[in-house]
Amino acid sequence: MTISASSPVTFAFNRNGGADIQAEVQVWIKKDVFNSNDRPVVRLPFHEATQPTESKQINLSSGTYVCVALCLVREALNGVFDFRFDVAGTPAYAKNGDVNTTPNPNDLQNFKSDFDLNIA
Amino acid sequence: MRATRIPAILALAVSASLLTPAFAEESSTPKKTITDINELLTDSAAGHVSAASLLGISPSSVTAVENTRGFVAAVKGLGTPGNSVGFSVTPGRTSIVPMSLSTYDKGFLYRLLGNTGFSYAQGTAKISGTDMERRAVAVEANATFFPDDDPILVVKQNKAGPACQWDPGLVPPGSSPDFSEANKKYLDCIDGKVKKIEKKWNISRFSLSYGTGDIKPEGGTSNRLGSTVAMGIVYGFDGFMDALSNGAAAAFTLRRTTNEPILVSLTTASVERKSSNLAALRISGGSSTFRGLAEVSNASAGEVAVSQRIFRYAAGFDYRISEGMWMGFRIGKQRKTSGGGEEVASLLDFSFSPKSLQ
Repeated sequence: MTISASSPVTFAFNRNGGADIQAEVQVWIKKDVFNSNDRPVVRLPFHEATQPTESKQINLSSGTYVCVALCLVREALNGVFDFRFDVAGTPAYAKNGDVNTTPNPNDLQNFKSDFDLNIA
Repeated sequence: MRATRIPAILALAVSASLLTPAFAEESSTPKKTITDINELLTDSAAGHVSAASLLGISPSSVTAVENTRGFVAAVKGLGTPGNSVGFSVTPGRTSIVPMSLSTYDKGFLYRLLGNTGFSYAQGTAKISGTDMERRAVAVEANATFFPDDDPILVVKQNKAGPACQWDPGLVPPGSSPDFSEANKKYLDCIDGKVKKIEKKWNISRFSLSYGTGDIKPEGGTSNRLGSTVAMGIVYGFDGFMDALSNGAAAAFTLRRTTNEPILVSLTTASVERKSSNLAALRISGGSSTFRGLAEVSNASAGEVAVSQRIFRYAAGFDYRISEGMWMGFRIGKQRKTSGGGEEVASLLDFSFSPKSLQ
């Protein structure tokens, strides 16, 4: 998936449900192979688990980037979850479900997705 | 339970108390790494089946206000004529009618709604020489007075420290990261905050209950038990000296019962009914796993209704056998069902709260 936008770019994380949802987006300059010395341009954490929406705006130079969306969903009040990453108003990655899949009270699950971002 | 059973009950109680050193030894071992998030569960009090306690199946006089679980089941008095079973479901904590975390965080009333549970209990008892079958249904809501005392809200910055933050580390595009270390650190942080709250077993809480049911003498016809509204407040002496705020609690219950049948009239052709008000106070002192207590109520003299077949005054203890499993013992005096004076009574019950059965 590729999203086109212009700087500054707004990254929004939307969450719903009784689960504790922690998230982060890492923005990397696109290249064929990444090594251990590479670093993302920016890391955008979304840690306010009781907030339905968190958004962050950043300035990016023209070019192509790869965004890595990461999530931890932990059963809290219940296991039901629904989250969506929006980039410049465009839905980039979304998941929903119920992490409460065992009789244990606090199940958890991780999610990850990569998508391209073109900055004009 | 009558005085004639006291020796057996005391023997069981003594056996239970002998378990204490094993737990002391366990708690003295170095803190292990959290590998299972089950260990994060707050377990500061016994599970609670409000239908049972509201309608007299349990003779304890104070409606306990405790942690809510998605599902709680209880079995009492196994092997005795007073067998009873019960269960409760808290819809907001299940996927039936899930409440969102943001809604839950909106305020006290939302936390009360998120902790609203429905319960059912049934049991048998011998009253005035007649076996009685009793059934009860109830709805109960409870919440901590302060959001910082709610283990669900440890995801926020609170008295237990700044918010925990999940840090997945650098995850280059196309890689297959192993999140186990990041997850563990996050869970350790959550665990630390939950444990800080859990240490304070006497958290100030509020509860509200409504219940109704029926009672049927063996071979007779069913009679409504009337209805009961109860309010409970636990005050943890917040802001007082450490010894009180860390190790003592006062629990106050008010109960209004309407059209309740008089027990001795249940076996007669004409069932008499009455309405009553009950106030009960319990003072507790101890730790999160063992606490002694004394309680007193204003159970009135005269003809005894179901809700008044409770301790007028009693002493005892609650003991956490293991996570989710509690044993409670009470001994004291209650009104005789004949209404003529008081009798010594005791209660030993076990409560087991499965962490989640949805």
